[in-house]
Amino acid sequence: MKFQKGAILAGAIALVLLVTNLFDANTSARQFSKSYPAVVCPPNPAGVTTATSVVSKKTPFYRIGNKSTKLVNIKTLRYSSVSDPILLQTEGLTPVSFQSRTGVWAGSVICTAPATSQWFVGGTSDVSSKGVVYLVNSGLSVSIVDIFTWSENGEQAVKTISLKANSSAAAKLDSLAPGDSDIVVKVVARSGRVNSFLVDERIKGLQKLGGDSVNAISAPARKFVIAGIPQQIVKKKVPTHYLRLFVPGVADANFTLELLSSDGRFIPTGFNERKLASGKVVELKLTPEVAKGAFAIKLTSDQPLVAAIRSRSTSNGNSDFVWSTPSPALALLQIAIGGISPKIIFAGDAIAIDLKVEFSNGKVKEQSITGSDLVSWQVPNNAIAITVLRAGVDNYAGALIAARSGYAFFPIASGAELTKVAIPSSNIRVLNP
Amino acid sequence: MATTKITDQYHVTAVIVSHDGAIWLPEVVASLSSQTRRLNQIVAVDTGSKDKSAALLKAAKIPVLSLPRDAGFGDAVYRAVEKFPKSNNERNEWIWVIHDDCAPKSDALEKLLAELVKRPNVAMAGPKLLGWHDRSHLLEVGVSITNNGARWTGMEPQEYDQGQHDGVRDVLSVSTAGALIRRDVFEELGGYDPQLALFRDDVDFGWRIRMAGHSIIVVTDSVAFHAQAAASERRSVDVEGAFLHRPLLLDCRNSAYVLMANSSAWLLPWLILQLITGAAIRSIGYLIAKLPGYASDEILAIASLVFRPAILRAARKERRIHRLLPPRVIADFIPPRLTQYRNGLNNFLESIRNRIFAKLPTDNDIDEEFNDDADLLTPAKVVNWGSVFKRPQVVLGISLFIFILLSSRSRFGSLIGGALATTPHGTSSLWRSYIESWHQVGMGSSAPTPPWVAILSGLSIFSFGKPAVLVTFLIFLAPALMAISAYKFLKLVTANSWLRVSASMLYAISPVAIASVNTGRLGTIVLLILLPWIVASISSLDNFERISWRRIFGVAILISIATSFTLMVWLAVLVVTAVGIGLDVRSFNVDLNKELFDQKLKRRIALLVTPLIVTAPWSLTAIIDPNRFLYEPGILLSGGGPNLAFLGNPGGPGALPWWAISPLTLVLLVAYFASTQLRKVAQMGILFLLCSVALSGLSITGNGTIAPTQLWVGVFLAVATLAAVTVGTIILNDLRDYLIATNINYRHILSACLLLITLGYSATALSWNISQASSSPVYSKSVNILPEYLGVETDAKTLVLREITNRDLTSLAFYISRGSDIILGEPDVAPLQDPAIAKAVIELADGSGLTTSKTFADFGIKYLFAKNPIDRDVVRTIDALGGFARTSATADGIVWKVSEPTGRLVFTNIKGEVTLLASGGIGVTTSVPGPGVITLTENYDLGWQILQNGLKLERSENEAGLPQFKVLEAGEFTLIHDGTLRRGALSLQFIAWVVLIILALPAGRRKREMSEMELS
Repeated sequence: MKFQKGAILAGAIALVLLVTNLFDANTSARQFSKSYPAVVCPPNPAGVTTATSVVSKKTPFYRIGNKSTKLVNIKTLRYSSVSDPILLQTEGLTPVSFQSRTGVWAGSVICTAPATSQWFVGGTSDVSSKGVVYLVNSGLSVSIVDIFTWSENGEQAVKTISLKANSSAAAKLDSLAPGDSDIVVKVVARSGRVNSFLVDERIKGLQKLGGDSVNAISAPARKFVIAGIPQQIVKKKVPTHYLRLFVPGVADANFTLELLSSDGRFIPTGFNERKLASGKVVELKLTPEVAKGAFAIKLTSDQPLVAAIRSRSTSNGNSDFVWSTPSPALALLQIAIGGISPKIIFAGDAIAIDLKVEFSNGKVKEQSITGSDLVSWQVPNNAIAITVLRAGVDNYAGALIAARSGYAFFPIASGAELTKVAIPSSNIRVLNP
Repeated sequence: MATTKITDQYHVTAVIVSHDGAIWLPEVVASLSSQTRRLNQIVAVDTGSKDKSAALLKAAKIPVLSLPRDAGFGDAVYRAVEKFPKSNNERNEWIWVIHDDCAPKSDALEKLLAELVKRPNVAMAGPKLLGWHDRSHLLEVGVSITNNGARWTGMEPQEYDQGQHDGVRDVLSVSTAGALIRRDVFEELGGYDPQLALFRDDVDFGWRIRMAGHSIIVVTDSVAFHAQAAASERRSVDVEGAFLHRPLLLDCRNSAYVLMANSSAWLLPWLILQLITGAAIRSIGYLIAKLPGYASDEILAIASLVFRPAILRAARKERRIHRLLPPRVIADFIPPRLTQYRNGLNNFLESIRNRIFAKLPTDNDIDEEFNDDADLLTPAKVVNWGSVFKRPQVVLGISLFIFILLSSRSRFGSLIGGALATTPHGTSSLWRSYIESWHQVGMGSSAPTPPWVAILSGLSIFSFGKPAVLVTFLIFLAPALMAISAYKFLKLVTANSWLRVSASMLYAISPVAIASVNTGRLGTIVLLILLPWIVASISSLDNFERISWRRIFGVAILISIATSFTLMVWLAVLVVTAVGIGLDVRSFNVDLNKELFDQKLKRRIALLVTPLIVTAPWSLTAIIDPNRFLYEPGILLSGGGPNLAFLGNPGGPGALPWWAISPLTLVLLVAYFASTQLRKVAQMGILFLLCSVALSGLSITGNGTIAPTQLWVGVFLAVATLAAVTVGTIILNDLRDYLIATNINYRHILSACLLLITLGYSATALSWNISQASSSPVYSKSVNILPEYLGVETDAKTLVLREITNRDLTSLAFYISRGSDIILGEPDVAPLQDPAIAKAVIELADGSGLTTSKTFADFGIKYLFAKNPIDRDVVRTIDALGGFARTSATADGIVWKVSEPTGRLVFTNIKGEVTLLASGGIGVTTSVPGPGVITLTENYDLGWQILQNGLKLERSENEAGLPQFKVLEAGEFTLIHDGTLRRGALSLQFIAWVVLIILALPAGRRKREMSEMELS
């Protein structure tokens, strides 16, 4: 009898302990919020057409500068901006804004989340410059923005601009380093939600030299890849590309440039362990004899640097130039490409990428890209978005758009990084010492 | 001899008034027959006696005049006087009024007449009245009336006659029992007032005699014994006007009548007021004594006079006819108020003293035969002061004091931290918080404040209105109070003082006690103090039917007090009730005694339901939100989980570490295998221990905290702890003799193990608590979270961001402040955060919040305060987000101002232009410039109203869940939160408490329920 009692008691205790330990709420685990910040797309300069691709007509947005900051549905898959920049709540999707001045130039930029600093390698301050750097404050308070400029003559005077809440402003490139031809611009927001965009438009007398929207670089790096440099061979003449480099640090850099093409990979003459002075913008000519289409370059340096490459291009008889900028290593991302049908250039030692292509009719197709060094893939015409499902190590991609008015480039990168923060909880304990 | 001759000239007729007095009449008649001064005549009036009174009188050859049963006393006397013939010597003819329960001593008349000889102006004289049964009990030596109409004898209750009042003196009146009245005066004044059929007729008549210019004396050498049968309700009162035969009603009515009929006219308003007030106060007293009949008598008596003024008018007119002197001639005979109060106070104190010391042994209780020789041989006792310190109680006291002193060294002063919010300086804010229908905490709340706030405010009287001092003392003295209550309780299980002391000390340093004191968990602390008293009152789940209702309600008060702090106590009662009913059902199936079952069930339900009733409406909210059954007062702090709970340790901040393993579980398990009653206690302990384990796996949110917090099961562990302490004490008490008498066996080893574990636990618990005292969650420090300047704007809300650590994990938390830190009681009514605000804060932290500042402005949040230390990334994100402008950055933290204009009352005109309106406290009176919409940035509640030009403005709930009001015209308006329901609920709660206290108080007894020995 006593044993029975003991067994019942032991059983009851064991059961209660087991169940409660199994269901013991793990209150110590922190809960995280994962979210994508809203992205901002560039304003539409006068005479230019700006169209931004999204994948859903229900994408919330508002026009920056408008009185109301209430998010409303965009109601289209390709939004044509009137003049103001727009803010989009795309939840991870990176919209692409395609800009063109009819018959003169074309450019494209990815829409990005506000950043405290952005680098632009491109543009000129010389007499030909019609370029502008646009500053957008999508926040609800005043922002102070510093524009740092470097040229072939070194650092220029800092320009500070105060931006009202929910507004945008523009600074002409020729005012940043007057007379200098090769410039690098860094935009730093002291406070507030600030985005910046740079349009490099040039004119020589009455001759329109073309233009481009320069994609921003987040920070200097020791290693980067620029994938998607157009190589147009006209009359068997190898085009010249202009590699603009800048070492922001105090120490000079030694860098090596490796060229990746469909013909293979090599280091062009003079680009192996080449010394680069710091503090001054340097532009180097690059005339690679590689097959037409596109190629990529890989830069490795002992000091952080920023770089971009300008290439001449002709489309429909219009002479244009295009700034190709570094792309980050491919990761999971989704990018909206509706209406622009780009050609995507993948670069890497061993390219192995799985993509998902979404079409305007709602169909979805998966595409695997494999190869080495450089692979080009033309996005189907009616595709509205591609999603990188899987990417090999150190695979990079850039996109080239051949439009009527010119060539455009944008890096295949995420415009807004997933933010993961511990969820703050409502707890009255905060009011108790 | 001369005196005898003189008294012979008096003609005295004794008038016996009989009414169901057969019990006393034989002795009365005998006493009259044996008077040393023989009576000239004896006549009797019988007012319809149902017993043998009339027959007895007739048998004694006394002429009897029969009157109807409802004939009054005065009427009976008058009719008798009318009946017997007048003597020749009219001036010396006297009537001796004799009650059927009043027996004069044989020389009573002689002594009276002897004094009358010396005082020719005396128209009435009376004897000293002594008790019928206790003939040394002094009843009266003359009688007077107090200002409130009470009959005044000047005697103490049960006053012993030692001749202390002896002598002949003028009095206002003498009792009708034994009153010797000059016949001519009696007839001239019309005898006793027929309106005073019984009671106060003596005082009234004396008053009238005095105003007619005569004198009245009491002669204490003359003695009569009086049974006071009518006043002591030994016989029914059947006189006309005695509604429902209620003596007290008649007494009260007559006292008021006497005052109003005889007093000066200009005194009447004051008298009426005084009588009504007095009746009301006495009614309350009777209600408290559970004598509603007496209470209604008081009120009905006054009402019966006030609503029939014609009777008074006639009485006053009659008195004016015979009045020679003004009414104030009797002023000398009215006892001074001070004397009345002093007498009342003495009586009250005496009754308390009797109640407290009633059972103390007196000299009479000593049975031992006194032996002078033996006494001489016994050596005189020498007090050895050293032995005082060997007494267990002293050892307990000193040990506890040292322990408390060392472990509370960081808690001298106003306490804060742990579950304890800042205690306000005065009780007013606590009372306000309890009474108000709206609480300005977070986004505002209309949740009812728990009753413990009122209890704490009430108890603050003992700390001179300083609740902070009370809380400090409560926390400081908590271990001592727990030990004392456990010590008292353990008296029931052992007489061994050392064992009791050790066990009560263990109870006071049990894991649950240490943790609750260290974290300021008032609910568990109060329960740990009250629990031994509760269990001592109902020590067994069986025999519930034998427990008196008074005791049931007494226990219900204790449970209600504990429940007022935390409804988890009620859950514990629910568990006990369920077990008890289960046992009852089992018994019922055996004996099929339904009445017994019902008796038990009623008592159990009373214990279960009463705490819910008296803590309503707060307790009722738990029915809607059952989470509330699990809250402790104050800030929600996590417990330690199921494994610690199984060891009897509730865990959480301030709790003992796991390695300080208490013997609680082991003791309960050992006792579980006992075959005695011990097992039942152990079963109950184990049941509560397992309940604790099961509940501690739960996580709850609430009390202003949205983060899931592991449940604190201190209440259930407190019951398990007391059970363990009880069974441990019983085991050791019973085992001691057995262990001494037997050879070493497993019981010796088990006992040794138990003792070793207990000693080990005591050492570790004491040393840990003392060593960790400086890092206790509850500590004394005057610090504020919010900078002072954020409290300047009374209507500004500040969202406070702060990193807090929970179970070694630091995370970001936030809450809305109203310009100051939270105070006691506020966490208990704090609302859960609005989802929109919570989302905005999350977006603020991750930098995705485009409209965070706008959301804040919509909810009236004017400032954002990041309390240091805080993650720099968060600060950078806020700086970068926009919508916030830094206003200060100090060592305390960083303050941002929300860019958009916002306030508590926001007016938006029809053009959409926003104007901030002045707003101070909860309600405000201000004006609007024109038509539009007023938005109140408080949580929506039906109580919010805006009145303009006497009309309520149309109220609606906006998208953010805030109340808004449509204004049609410019002008002044008043914003209020209608607290009618709250006030009504509090009134009902007050009534419920009063009724409960009355039910628990000892009941008063009607006079008819008292023994005659007690009365006389």
